[in-house]
Amino acid sequence: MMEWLTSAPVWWANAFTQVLFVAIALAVFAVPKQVFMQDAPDQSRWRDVRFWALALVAVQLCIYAVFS
Amino acid sequence: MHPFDFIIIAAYLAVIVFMGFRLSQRVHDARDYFLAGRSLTWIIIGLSIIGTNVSAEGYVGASGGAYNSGIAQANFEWIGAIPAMILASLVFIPLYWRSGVYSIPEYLGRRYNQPVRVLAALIASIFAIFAIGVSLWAIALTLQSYLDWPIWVGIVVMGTVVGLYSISGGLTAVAFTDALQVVIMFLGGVAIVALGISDTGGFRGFAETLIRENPTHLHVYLPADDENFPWPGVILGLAIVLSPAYWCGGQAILQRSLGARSQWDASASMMFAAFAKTLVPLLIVFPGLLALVMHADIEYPDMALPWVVRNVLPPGLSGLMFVAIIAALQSSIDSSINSTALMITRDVRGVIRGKVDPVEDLRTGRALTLVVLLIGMVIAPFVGEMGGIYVFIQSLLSLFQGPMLALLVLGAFTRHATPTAGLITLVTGVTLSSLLMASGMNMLYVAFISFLYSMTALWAFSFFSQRLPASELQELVYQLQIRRSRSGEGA
Repeated sequence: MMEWLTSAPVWWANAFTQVLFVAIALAVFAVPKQVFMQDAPDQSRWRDVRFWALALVAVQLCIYAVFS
Repeated sequence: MHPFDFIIIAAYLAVIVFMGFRLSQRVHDARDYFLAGRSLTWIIIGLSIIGTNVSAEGYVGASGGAYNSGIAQANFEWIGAIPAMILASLVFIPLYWRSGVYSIPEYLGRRYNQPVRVLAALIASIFAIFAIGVSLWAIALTLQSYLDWPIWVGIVVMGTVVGLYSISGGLTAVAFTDALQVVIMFLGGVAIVALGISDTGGFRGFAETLIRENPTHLHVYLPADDENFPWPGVILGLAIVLSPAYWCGGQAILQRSLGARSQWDASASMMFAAFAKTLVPLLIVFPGLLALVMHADIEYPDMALPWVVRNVLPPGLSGLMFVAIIAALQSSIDSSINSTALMITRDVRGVIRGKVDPVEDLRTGRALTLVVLLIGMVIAPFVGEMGGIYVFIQSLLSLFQGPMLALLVLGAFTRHATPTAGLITLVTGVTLSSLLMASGMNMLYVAFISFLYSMTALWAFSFFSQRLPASELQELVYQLQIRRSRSGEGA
């Protein structure tokens, strides 16, 4: 198994990373808003941390695209 | 060093000790001491998380790693952190926060049983004490190289400074001083980036030289047969196992989130930390690349950062950068002694005695913080000199990460995992990891295989033992907690 792994091409890693981050971007909206917004000081949209996660994912997608 | 550097260092030490004493007035019981009275805001927690995360090996070792292997070193800050931090923020932190626990072993104790809690707390505490010893040794070495202080003087002075603010102010002091330390770290890092790029002929000159002389140093993934960072190991071992185990189950990291003033602050703090984490390679990876582009005359890669500090920064700023390195080390030590004292006070002593008392636990917690720090100071010279042993100990810690993550994942997402199966999986999973490690397998692959085994074993063993009743799992299983909060909203 290890020999097979050590011959795997690098582009698999780049492809996996892009797929992983896109999957995370989709999955964050499966988390209901009330999980983290219930006791928020107010219900402003900027406090919805799922959008923070989207911004993080976008930055990561760019980083891994540039340095692939 | 320039006299101006000394002034900066003395001012920094005075400010953090003063902050510790000021914040000690807020500490009245164990909840104040260990969870900051649940009063921390998301910005302070987020900065404190980064301070705790960037450690001795992080600062000096990552620059050396980047000098050697290039930007692949940054995987530890990107794919080896960000997905797990998002998972922690949206799933695990709300779960821990709502269940009202002080620690991750306490969560495991409620989800499985008390033996699992005590075992997890003991394992984490023992390794934390070794890590404290190594960090104190690293600080003493830094002080020796910059100020010519004997090693024992460095250990005593820095141990005393960290002890003064950590023991008096508890988690509040630790979190606020961490936040200050991270600001200093970023200021020092930005200074290095700006001056370094300027010295190498601007960004274009820097990038062109790096690409021309080291063409693979800007590739984030290295071939699968690379000795240091094989990409399958980075993805399977680091991104899928070690990183989630650290960010979703590490006590020193998560304790400040459990001290948030609201659940929203707790979740937001981890997301904010993830943004800061994205920028951390500028602080700890860039100096290694800079040393390479500037053709640094160094004997081994770990000397890249000290070389950059001496040769790129002017007087005053080199003092600030020296403070930044000390701050990185201190913020790891203060968090470790506080979280270790918490686990021994509540998860070991509290379970054995069968009761907890907020006022008595405060006294015990402070005494244990001092004891943990003193043990760290005593073993520092021994552990530090045996550098190879420390690497071995770190490898041993990775033996527990696969089984621990399996317990957390199946415990948090299903009702199926049972207490008996949890204990059996923890013991057999660690045994399997040890055997794999002894066979010479790469640590990253050991982590992945032990995780796969532990998931399978926990699931299978749970068919043959008694589940906890649903009433006891309401606040401990993600789906049940969601269902409950939805029905509460509807009512």
